[in-house]
Amino acid sequence: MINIKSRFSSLTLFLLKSGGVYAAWQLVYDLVVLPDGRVDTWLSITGVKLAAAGLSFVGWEIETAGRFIACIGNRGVEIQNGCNGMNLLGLYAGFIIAYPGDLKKRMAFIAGGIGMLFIANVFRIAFFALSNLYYPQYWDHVHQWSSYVFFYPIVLTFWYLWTTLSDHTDIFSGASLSSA
Amino acid sequence: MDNPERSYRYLFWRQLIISLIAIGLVYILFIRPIQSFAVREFILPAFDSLIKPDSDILTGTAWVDDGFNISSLSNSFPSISIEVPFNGYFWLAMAMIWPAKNKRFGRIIWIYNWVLFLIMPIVAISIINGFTWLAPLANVHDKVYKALFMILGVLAVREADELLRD
Repeated sequence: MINIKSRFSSLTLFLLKSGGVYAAWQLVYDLVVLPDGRVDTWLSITGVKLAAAGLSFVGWEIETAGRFIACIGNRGVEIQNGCNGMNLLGLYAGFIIAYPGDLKKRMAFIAGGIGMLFIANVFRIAFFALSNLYYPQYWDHVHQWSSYVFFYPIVLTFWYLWTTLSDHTDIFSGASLSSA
Repeated sequence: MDNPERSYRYLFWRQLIISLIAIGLVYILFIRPIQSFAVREFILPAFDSLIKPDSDILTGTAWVDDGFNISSLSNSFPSISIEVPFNGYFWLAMAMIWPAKNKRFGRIIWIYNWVLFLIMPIVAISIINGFTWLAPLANVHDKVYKALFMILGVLAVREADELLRD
């Protein structure tokens, strides 16, 4: 019988595992979650409601209708399924699932990170509404680059923190590194 | 009093932040506009010319401008985006790998981007020619390779920080 662990390095195994987790998530998302729409719709509408509540709380006049949000008298923004950060949650969790570590800490890290990404998405939606009010001419750029500003710093930071917390340095390429 | 370990680590993290900002700016201001121009003026028209007039296939640059999307008028397959190699995910990963001086990870990402020059046109031409079952697989590939690029970037940073700590 082939011993997979002895044939591949820890890094290769980890990358294969990550790739498998992402592939499975993407297939489930594309073929089940997105067509079904319920989770995406909930995420979009909840994000819009929370963003509207936050903006109203700090003094802006906001109107919402389902997945639409607008500063009163201005063009609205529609948070469509597939553009609401849902995919990012899978991207984030995939790494934490594939990278070795304690199960309880892993679950806490997944929940914490997803919570942070959800909050970041609320800020992103609020930012969309405000950018449409003040800088509507830059909408395309704001929409295009928003993920890089709101999501990726959180994803990359939490991934990094997970690698330090789980302390499995045998994944790295250098043979000189070992677990403490 | 100087603490060499702390200094090296401090320099590394400073270099990493500078790299992320500098490469991000170069990408946004120069690379992406060039890629968008190439897609708009040359790549998309070339692929458009392969689509038959009565085809169910629709192409456009609705969601991406450093690539193009292929979708079905009758929704017979999920829409996919064909992005040019050396896109934002390459630069994001490299912005982390260069300061970490991790040649191994850099080489993997570099080579894979050259391979994408083969994969992307083959996928696009195949779907245009009716092999629409490739669309979900293309979507999976799109997400997986981008995620793996970012993972290699983070691991390079982590490894460099660990070495400097030791």
